[in-house]
Amino acid sequence: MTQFWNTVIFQPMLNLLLLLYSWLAHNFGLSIIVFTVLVRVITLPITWQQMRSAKASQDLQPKLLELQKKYKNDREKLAQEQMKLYKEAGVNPYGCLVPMLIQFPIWIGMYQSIINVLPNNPLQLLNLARHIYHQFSGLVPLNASFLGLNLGRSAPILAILVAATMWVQQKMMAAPTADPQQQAMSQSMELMMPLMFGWITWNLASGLGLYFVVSNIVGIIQQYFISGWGSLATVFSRQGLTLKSPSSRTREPQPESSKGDKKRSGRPKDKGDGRKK
Amino acid sequence: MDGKLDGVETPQPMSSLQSWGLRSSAVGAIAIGPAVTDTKHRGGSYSLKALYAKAALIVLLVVLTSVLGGCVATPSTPSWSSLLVVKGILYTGSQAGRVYALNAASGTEIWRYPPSEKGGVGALYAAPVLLGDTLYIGSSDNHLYALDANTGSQRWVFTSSGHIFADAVIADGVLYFGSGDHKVYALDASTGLKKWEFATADGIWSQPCVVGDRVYVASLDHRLYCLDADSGRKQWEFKAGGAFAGSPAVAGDLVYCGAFDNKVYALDAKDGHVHWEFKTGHWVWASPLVVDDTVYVGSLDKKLYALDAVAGTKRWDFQAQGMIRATPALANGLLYVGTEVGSLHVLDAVNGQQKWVFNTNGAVLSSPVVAEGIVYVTVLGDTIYALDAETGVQRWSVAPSKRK
Repeated sequence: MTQFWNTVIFQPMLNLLLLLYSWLAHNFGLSIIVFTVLVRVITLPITWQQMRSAKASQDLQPKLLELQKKYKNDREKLAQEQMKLYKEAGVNPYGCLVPMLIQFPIWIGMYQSIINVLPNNPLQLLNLARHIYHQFSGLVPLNASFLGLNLGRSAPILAILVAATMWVQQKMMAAPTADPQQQAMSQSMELMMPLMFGWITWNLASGLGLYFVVSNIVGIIQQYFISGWGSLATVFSRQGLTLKSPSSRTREPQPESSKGDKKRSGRPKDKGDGRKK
Repeated sequence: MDGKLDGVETPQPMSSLQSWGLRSSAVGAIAIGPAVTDTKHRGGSYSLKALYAKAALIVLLVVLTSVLGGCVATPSTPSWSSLLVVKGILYTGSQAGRVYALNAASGTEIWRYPPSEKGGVGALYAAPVLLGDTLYIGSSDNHLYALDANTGSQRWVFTSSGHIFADAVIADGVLYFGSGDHKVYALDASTGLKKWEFATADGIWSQPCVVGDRVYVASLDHRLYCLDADSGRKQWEFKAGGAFAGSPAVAGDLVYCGAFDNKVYALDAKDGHVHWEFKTGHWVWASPLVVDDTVYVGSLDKKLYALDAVAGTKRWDFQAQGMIRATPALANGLLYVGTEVGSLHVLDAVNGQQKWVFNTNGAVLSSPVVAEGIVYVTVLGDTIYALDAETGVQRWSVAPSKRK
């Protein structure tokens, strides 16, 4: 299994990173950025499908609530009606799970590649020797300098950036809830995850932090085109600021000023979620 | 219930993961938050569900952290240790950063540094070197330690700005060693005072080679430098197509060194011009061993090569079980070759025929040492084997770092 993983996922990704390094003037930071964007672009169809599926499912919630009210004493009928609703709306209730499972090995491979390609001691270098393609032998050790950072060592600034960009992305992804307990749990998790990844980055080579930051930024852009600013708009509106965006696509409760903006900007046509009004 | 339903179990929308509020985020992590706007309430059932949810989230975070940790983890053993055997005493370091003096005949411990009540210094890759009654060893904690070879007490410490992975070398009372801070240092061996330093463009993970008034230093910056031993002034440099992580060896008028461009180079010792080069199938990390007119050198392509020292032509090669990182040892016409899969191959130095092989319980990544008819091998994990050099029969094995 390990051999299969190394041959199919890890080694190709590691050596792709080295190939980019050789093409991009031996600039490892640039290589990580291009590498991350490249992988995100390759997995874009999967990510896109996943995001749209999540959005479409969220949009069905009012109708699901109605069904739950209507058939609260008939579970079987409720289940039938819900599946019917999903079918009519063109939503696969498990649409998010499969893409996530497909992407997970790619993420792990990326982590491994970035960490292994910058060995800090002879044992790590020996480990790299097991996975490097011979045509890239001469590239080792890589020049880890990038914008004044040593990508082989931890950099607090990148840890902060990781936490900040992840928080923004989490906020954009968060769906609103009226339940205070669930909202509290959601908020604590939206804070906990960025802090956890910030802490991980703080303790690891900053090359991985650079990957996290770039990946988050790409994710933010993707999310923006799917659901706009999401709950982030609410955060800003509390501060008296308004984020202009296709935010009307979210079902976020908006203050009056934001609603005005929504009306002015108009609701973009959402073809992909299959909603039937 | 203010718009919330009670009493109805419903099939969860989307995936079960999403029902717990999980969505994939950009970094491949899991974004956590409510995925649905409704919540089921029925007296205490919500509290129970909330409890389950929190427990599941905590478990998920632990798993996620473990997965990430596993992805980024370096090998659990952070160093390989090296050996020195002098006058019946075996000196070695450990991955836990402790130096040991053992009785070479029995493996019993004589002393350890630091003592048990203190923590170890940084992981030790380098072999100790001995001058008089002082033992010198570099550590990955950036320090080079000078210890009393009889008691293990510390005499002095020199601090560099980088990890010290390579062996030091002593010539004419001067201690030369390279550091991860890109520099090679020359110290007064008795006091530890710096005589000079020379900066390269990358870390130095190999032992300098001192011959006469020249010091040859191989650096990860792809260059091999020839320095004046007194002043540290550069005489010449040679650039290869890959990094130099192994030590150079000098014999006659030639300097031999392997590189990460998979080649073994023989350079003119006077000016660094290439006399010959020989290509292997992978990185050449081991220092070449030059005996008479033959160069023995191992490669990570799992082969040991015997080359004509003057012409650079291959005389024979031996296919080992694993990558050969360390320099082989030669004694009584036999070559002792360790591999990263834990095998110790013993070959006839003339024709490369294998006499016997001994399988250890860990990777053999440092050079075996032969003394008094015994071959000593240390493996990853700090176990030391003492074998009969002629027959391979095991005399003893110890793991000093596992003793209290």
